[in-house]
Amino acid sequence: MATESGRASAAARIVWDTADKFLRNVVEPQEYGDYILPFTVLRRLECLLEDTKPEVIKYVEAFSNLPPHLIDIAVRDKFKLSFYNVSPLDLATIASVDDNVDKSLLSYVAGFSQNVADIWTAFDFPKLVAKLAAANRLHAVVKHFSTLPLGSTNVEDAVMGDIFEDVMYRAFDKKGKAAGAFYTPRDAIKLMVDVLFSADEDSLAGENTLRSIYDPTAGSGGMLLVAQDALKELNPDIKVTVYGQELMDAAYALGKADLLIQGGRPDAIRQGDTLITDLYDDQTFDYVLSNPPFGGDWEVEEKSVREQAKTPGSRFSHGLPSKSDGQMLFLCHCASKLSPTGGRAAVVSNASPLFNSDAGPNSIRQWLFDQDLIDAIIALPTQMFYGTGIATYVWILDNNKPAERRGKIQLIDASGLWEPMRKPLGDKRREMSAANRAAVVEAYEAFTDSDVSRVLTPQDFMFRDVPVFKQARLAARYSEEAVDALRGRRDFGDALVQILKDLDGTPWNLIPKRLPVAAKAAGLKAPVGLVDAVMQAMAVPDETAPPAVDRKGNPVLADGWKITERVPMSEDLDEHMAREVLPFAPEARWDESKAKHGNEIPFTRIFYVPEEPRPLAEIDADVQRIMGELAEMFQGVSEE
Amino acid sequence: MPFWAAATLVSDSEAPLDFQVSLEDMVSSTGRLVEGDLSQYSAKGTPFVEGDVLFGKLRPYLAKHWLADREGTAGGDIHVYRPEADVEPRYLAYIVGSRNFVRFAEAASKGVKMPRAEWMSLREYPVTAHDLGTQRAIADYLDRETGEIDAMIAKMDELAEKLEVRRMSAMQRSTQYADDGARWNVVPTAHLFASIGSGTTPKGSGYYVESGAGVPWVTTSELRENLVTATLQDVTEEAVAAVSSLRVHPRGAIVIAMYGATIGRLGVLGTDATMNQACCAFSSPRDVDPRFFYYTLWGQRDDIIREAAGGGQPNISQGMLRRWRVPHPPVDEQRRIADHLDEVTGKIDAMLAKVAELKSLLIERRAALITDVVTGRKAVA
Repeated sequence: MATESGRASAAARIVWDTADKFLRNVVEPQEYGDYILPFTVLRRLECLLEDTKPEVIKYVEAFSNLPPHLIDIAVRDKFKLSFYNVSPLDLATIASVDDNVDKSLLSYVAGFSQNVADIWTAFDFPKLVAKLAAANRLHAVVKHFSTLPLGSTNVEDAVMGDIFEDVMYRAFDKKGKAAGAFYTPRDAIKLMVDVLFSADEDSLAGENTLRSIYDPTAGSGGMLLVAQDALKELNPDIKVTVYGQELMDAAYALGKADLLIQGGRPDAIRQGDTLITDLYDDQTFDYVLSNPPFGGDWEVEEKSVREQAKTPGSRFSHGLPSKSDGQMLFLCHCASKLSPTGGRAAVVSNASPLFNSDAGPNSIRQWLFDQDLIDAIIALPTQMFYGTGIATYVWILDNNKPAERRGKIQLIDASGLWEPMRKPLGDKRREMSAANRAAVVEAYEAFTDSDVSRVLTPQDFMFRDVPVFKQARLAARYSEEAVDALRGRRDFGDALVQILKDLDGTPWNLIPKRLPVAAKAAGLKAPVGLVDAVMQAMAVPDETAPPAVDRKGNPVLADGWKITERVPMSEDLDEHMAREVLPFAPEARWDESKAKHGNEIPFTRIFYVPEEPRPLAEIDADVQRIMGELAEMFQGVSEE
Repeated sequence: MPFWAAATLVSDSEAPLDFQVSLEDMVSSTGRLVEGDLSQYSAKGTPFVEGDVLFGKLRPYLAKHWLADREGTAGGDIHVYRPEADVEPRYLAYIVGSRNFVRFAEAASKGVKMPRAEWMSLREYPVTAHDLGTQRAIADYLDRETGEIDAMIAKMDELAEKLEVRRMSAMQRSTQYADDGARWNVVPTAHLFASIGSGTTPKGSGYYVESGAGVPWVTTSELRENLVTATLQDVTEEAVAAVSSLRVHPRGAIVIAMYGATIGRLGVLGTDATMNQACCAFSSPRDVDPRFFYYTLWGQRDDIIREAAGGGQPNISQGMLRRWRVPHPPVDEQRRIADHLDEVTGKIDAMLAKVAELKSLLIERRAALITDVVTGRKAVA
């Protein structure tokens, strides 16, 4: 493999360097890739069709009155070709004369079958041709590409994929990190794929095994291809079909081309906005992979998404995130695409879907918990992606977990499992080596608590925030202020002052009993409103008094002390309070009916362990040693 | 006990008082405020009183905390912790400043790009419970011990400064004077280097690539009396071809910063490189040992900057550098002096590295001591 990819890389350098030579000073360096990639694809397709081309042209001519899609079927049946070209031209012929190169080239490309025609539009090929022609470089470029040996006998599908990838990354390297959003690094994809398939290795064996892989944000198709290769490595006889959807023109063209040059189906990637129209509406899949945009605003899709969300049970019916960040829509979409007989998904996200506490994300998480769809969440190292250095996570969803994983969610902290890259690319400065990835898969399969793994339940992430307060302890005290406070009341009169004086020192909780008795004895009335007012006026905090209750026996709250305690749903409320609150606030009381429910996945919190500092004696020994060394070194300096 | 049982989070919002503290006013990892004037703002803030502890909750790993010695108002992204009656404020401040509290706050943070510590998580931070007397004893002990460590750290800074003075004086003495005390003849630098030139900042984002992917492009911030082998950003071959003022200077050229924060600082090219307009490179030496020249410029730094400040703008110019006169002993002598200075500066650099190591050990010791004492692992006498 190493030699093959080495060869691929060498080939890619030839493709790139020589093309670079012809493009210099005509095209901005960051646009080299926009030119080199379509020409590479064109040459590869040409080579793949070369052997049968004359016969195909004759065959197609015979059917010229048939609709194109029927011709496609006929060609596929007869020649086992999923696409073809009926132009008599090829790059070598076009390059043989330095005349009308642009017209010939466009006519040649127009000769491709309908099912691959859109690649050239998406690549914006006519514009590239016009620019090169105007600068007088087109002939040289066509000539250069016409000689590249990219046929299937020279270059196997997988090696061609490596060459294409290499050229793509060179292009991307020139473009800088803005382009990074569309590419998922291979090491990240490999990790996702390893974990995705690790649970299914047994069922993947055997003959006549069929599997489908789907990516709703396919980009340049990297995930689908890596996943397909990984499945074939596990079982060479497996039949894999890949399905993708991609919105962006350039990425769509790259993805479709990448699959085609490796022998994929022409319609494996379809172009469109997944949030508005799912182009695989009636299909579900064995495996779903996606690296949706993080923090991508979905204003354009909003109207359609809100309309779709109205259908109960539909993909967006479980809650909607804020308009500024659509990544949880993709998470929901992926969950909806799992095969009902058992499918697994790996979806990349940033930290926000773990804990965003808005109503939408909260209810989406709750739905995922209730359906037991989350199998694992893996924290990747930071600086793993080309376009951003932030913390990222992979959500592994599964709608048919094995019995031992049911009702459980595993968190894996792979944030420390990385190697520095020799040559950073955009924001990507770290990569996960095969050993790093193996460590993650091992932790996943071990399914126990360890330094990098925690096995929890959905209830551990669901909580109620319970208001906790203290019950006041009050004594009844007579004071001038207390009397003043009562003076405004119509039911209060001087005659009551003596009664208040007599109540001084009485247990505060007994005022509702004693006040009316004393009032009656004095021939006065004590309505309940007055009793309450007297209780309030005479109340003085007293640590030695019993907890205060009002006239109706309800606890009276102490002023200025209130906390909110977060209690996981996996814990009994009273036990939690007895353990976490009462030892520190014995007076604490709580009101379960006022609890607010929510959920979050506090990933980093869960993996926090306090750090043990080095023993002081050890540090001191180091200090001593260095001070000695310093003194010695100073000898050397002062002797100058 | 949980942190909430030791302190309450003050959640009031009031119009600012005269004394205001904002996040920028708190110095990372020191427990102190910045020297001089604090920022003023008109927005509402969180009121605090003497004995409250302030903690910067935005990017908590910055470890910003302060024990309030008067009343005031705290600005945005500052938590104000009010100690309970049975909690010694200084003890609380040591906890909030401890490494594990900061790490916990980091783990209890939310936010994709700008993490903020969440009280609902942070309130559960485990605090070792001590009675008030013990807390005071701990705070007294730590005040004394950390004060001693801080004094020692200050000594390390002083030591480093003294060593730098010594290095400077050795360079000045050896490059300006002969062994018999006579001054060397001086000549303008333009006589000594066939090539003295600068560079530019090419316009066009396509001209820049990752470090290592093109031609190194030196900016003044990269000049630190060092060998420059790689730059933060490279420029493309195309940029060099297209922009005539973006010259490639050869490996071995001596580079000086003509303006900016690093004005007067030097580098030696360890690779062929281009540079921006604030750098000036001396190459193709004639009858001069570049190392001797390098030490000369280093020794003359203050004079060069002073000369520059005399003009309308405090910038060194290429013209001034061409006219600048440097000592010019015979070249054999230059070589001998440069060898000697290589040895002297090498020894002092080694000492400076040790001093830096010692300083970081002392900082580690301070943090370890606080953790050991507040967690009760080390008892105070």
